[in-house]
Amino acid sequence: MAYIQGIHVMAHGDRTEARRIAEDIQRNQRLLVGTGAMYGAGAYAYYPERLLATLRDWPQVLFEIDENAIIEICKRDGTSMGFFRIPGTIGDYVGIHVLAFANLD
Amino acid sequence: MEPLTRQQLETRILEAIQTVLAEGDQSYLQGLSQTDLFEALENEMRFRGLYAHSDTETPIVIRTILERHIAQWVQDLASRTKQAIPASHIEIEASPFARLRATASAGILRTKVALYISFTSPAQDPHMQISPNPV
Repeated sequence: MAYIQGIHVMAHGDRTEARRIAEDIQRNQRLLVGTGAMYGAGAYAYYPERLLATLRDWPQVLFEIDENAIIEICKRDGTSMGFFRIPGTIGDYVGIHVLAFANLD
Repeated sequence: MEPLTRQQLETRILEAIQTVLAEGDQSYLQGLSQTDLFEALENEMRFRGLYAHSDTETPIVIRTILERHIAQWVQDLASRTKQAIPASHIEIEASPFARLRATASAGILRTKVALYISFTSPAQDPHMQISPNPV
């Protein structure tokens, strides 16, 4: 089984909310599947090397996950958009292995 | 870097939204209500890092643009499917005794009338008798 790393940006940059969410993520090793996605239901994350510069200062969690548990988001021509989806049902959680948090303070 | 003018910002946001609408999963997007599409686009603009966390103006501009165009985008998404996959009529020789006329519009075969045809072979169905010369 191969693992890949991802960065999930938390709480749309709200650090207070991100600290609260981070406790749950750390304790339960999971991400919540939220509403309002463009590419299907799931928890979304960037490949670490593709994280946008404007998101570097936002609160985020670095994690790893089985590569078979993700769906890479691509353009119609097959080009990767730099992020992936961990499919799941809205309101449910998907499992991850947390490596580190950043920008919570 | 110099801050963008309001017009430049609006142009950038509109371009990003058009890209998202073009590259997104069309069948999924068409299933969203106007409210859900609005929320999805707003989330997408945040997810794409269109503005820094300290930027309070861009989220307002995004919301204004979405409110202005959302109804049109929903309409465009709906019409895009019809254009992409024109309806066509297909005739299927289901058996020498039955013929299905179906309309395909989204890759799924849909019959206009629900027809139930047994594909059980005569050998398996002792009650079925077929004569080439009906009385």
